Amino acid sequence: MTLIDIVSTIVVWFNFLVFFYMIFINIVYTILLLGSIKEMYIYRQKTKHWNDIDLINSNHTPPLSILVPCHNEEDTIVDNVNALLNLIYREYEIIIINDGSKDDTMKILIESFDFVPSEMPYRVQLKTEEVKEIYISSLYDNIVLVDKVNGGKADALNTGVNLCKYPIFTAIDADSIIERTSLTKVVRPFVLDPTVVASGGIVRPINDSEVEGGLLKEVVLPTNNLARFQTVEYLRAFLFGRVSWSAINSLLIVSGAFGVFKKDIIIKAGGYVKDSLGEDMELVTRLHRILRREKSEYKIVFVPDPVCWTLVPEDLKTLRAQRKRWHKGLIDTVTDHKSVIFNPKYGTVGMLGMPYYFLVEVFGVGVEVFGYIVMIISFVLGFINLQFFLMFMCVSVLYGVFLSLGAVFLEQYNTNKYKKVSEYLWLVLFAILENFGYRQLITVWRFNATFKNSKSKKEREWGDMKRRKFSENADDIINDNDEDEII
Amino acid sequence: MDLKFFVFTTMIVLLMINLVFFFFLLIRKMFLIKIDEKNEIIYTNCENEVLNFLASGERSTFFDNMSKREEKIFESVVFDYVKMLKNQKRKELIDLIGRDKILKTVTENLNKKNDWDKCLGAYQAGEFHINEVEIELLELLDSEDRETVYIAMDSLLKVGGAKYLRNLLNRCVSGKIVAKNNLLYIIDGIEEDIEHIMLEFIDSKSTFLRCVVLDVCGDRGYEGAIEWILKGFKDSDMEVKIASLKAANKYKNFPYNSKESDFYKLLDDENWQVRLFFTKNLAKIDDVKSISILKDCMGDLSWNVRNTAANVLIEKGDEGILALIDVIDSKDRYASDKAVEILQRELVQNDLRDNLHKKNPSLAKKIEDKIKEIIAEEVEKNDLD
Repeated sequence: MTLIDIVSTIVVWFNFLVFFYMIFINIVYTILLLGSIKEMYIYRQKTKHWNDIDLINSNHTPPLSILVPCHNEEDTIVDNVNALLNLIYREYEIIIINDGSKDDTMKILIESFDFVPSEMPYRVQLKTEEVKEIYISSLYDNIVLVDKVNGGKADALNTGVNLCKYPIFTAIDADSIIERTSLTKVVRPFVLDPTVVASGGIVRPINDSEVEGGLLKEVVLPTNNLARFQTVEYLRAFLFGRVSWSAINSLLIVSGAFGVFKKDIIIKAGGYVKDSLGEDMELVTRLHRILRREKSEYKIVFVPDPVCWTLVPEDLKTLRAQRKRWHKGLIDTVTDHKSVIFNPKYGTVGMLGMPYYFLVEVFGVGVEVFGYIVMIISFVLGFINLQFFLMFMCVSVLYGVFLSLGAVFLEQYNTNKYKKVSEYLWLVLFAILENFGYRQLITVWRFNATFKNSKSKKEREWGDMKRRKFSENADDIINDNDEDEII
Repeated sequence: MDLKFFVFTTMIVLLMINLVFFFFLLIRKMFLIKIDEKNEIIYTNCENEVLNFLASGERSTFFDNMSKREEKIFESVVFDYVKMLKNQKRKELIDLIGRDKILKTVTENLNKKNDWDKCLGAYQAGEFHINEVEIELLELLDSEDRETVYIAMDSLLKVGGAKYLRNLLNRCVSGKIVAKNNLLYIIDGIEEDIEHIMLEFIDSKSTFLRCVVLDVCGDRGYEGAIEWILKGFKDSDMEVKIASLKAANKYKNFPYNSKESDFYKLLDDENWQVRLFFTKNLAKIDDVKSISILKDCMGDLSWNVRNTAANVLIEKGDEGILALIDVIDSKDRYASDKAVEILQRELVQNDLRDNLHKKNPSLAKKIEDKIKEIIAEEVEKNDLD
């Protein structure tokens, strides 16, 4: 057998693998899409007999702590806190955790909200880096500011958990804005069902939307092309990924940018893990493991209506860093919890949720990258006829477009935030265009991330990403990092 | 069939599906924009007419010449307003649509096979007070779905008031079908006196039900429940003790010091949750003893108890503030820290010093001196560091 024969055999077999893998992955996506349509229908039916005003006014709605971890957020933090102060919710407190910012975040916060140092004792239920000072505001009695030594986002969140006084808490990124009624909607599952331990809402790009005083005035589709690609991605990931996983209680990611948790369960689980890049996914996976092992009756749910708006990267460098970080986080979580994969002891999480992340999100990246390489070799060796190859690619692209249209349909059906016809046309255009370069680029970045050492200290912290500030004149570039994962 | 043909066919099919999907979404979008614009105008008109009707009581001719769409939107406007109105005004507004028409819609929804339609029917029955469908609502009560049961319960109480309270409470014996906060919330809506019903369930074998009943009795200040609350203080079940303490705290004058009361024994209860609610109750006891107990509570092992005790001391006024100043000098660091924190918070957020200067200058001076002392100690400590 010559070398050419060996290569030929490998290429042929790999082509078969890619072919069947594509069929498998598309079947999975179709099931997720159909599941989401069903769940969205149910959700819409439910909202007909829900009365938000009653819920908000009820004395029996649980009070909530809002944790705002921040690191070098001088441009967005005040807007963000103002938006939080204007939320429609009966009783809540805001805990801002400054994780060793090097810019003027602390100064701006102290000046804007008249913070003064407090002797408030710090209860260590979860171990964290040293807390330097705790401040209370003389303007608002429901805001606390914590200044602590830099320890990363997870450490900042653990500090917030230690300080919060209410039974449920939400962690909201300092570069995100949530709609005024979102909190009520995302807390609703806790009110209706005591077995709910975590709930999450949708995260969507806010770039170019009009923000005034921390409040979202008008939602528009981003004008930046990269942000538009991400808008399509976010819609797909949230509207038909998470909705379906939630229906079978196998949701493995509750957005770091917008998730509500029961405090006692999080403390019991040991809080956020500091050396994980995907702390939100890691935490939720751990919760599933612990609660399933204990055979507890619990639910981790996704609510498709409440929206949290976040700034997404508008340049390739930032986007690459973000996606690498997310992928490393995903790999960390999957490898840390590998014993869950195909383990019937963990029910749907073990048999469906984790295998999906392993086969589609981790293994799939490798298959896709090698698929492109092998396709080229196949051409060179003459295994694939050009006409067949082009048709096959067309099928692949058309199916991708079909799924994206499905996500756009769910957006129209569910929230319909983009009101203009032109915005719909742009979304469809970008759903087609993303198949020609954008998707491949993201895949290559993710593939590269697989081989990077994810244990380096710098990566464990907040990273350094460039992002624009909210508001209509958003020309300034700021340093920032953390967005929500859309895996 | 060869692979090439299969792929080609798939490609053409997908292309067609995508085109159909695209145009469907495009037309839907354009159509919805137009519809929304029109609906918005109709809604505003209907709202104005409804407001005029509520203000003047005169029925406009607008309501007689409505198109199908206008009728539908008009119903939604009435639905929005009916939730905010009571008694006669509510009845008048419902009559504007026609009660028979609503009854027909509600009955249709309740008789549909789909659970969500049934829930919608139950919800509408409750909001419009359609008591003709009570039997259907009672049937829904037996559902195993939490939300259905909750909506059915809410509607039954809105439709029949206390009449169905027993059915509801019997359905909740296990506490698994409806969360306590939800049950309390819907019972809150009953305006009639329900003491006799509550007392029937106050010695229930179900801890869940006992706690709910104690809570309701406390909220409504039912005298008949006091002896059960006092018994609750002695109960071995932590939840019953907590429910009793919560209930006692809601009475204007609760006999904490009566012979039957074991209230003060709860100070040494093994569960911090019980001690916490015990501390909260001390806010209502107006004697020197309570201040001294609260000072002891400031040294409790539980952070929650210390925090509550400190807040209660602030509520006690000048005597409480003096007690907090004393606690600052305590050897118990936790108690001392908490006292400093609370006093500082009151100074910063609630203008404690300014208020005291007007009412009690000597106490204001004492606080100032104490704070100066603390600052001096801090500075000294920092210098040493």
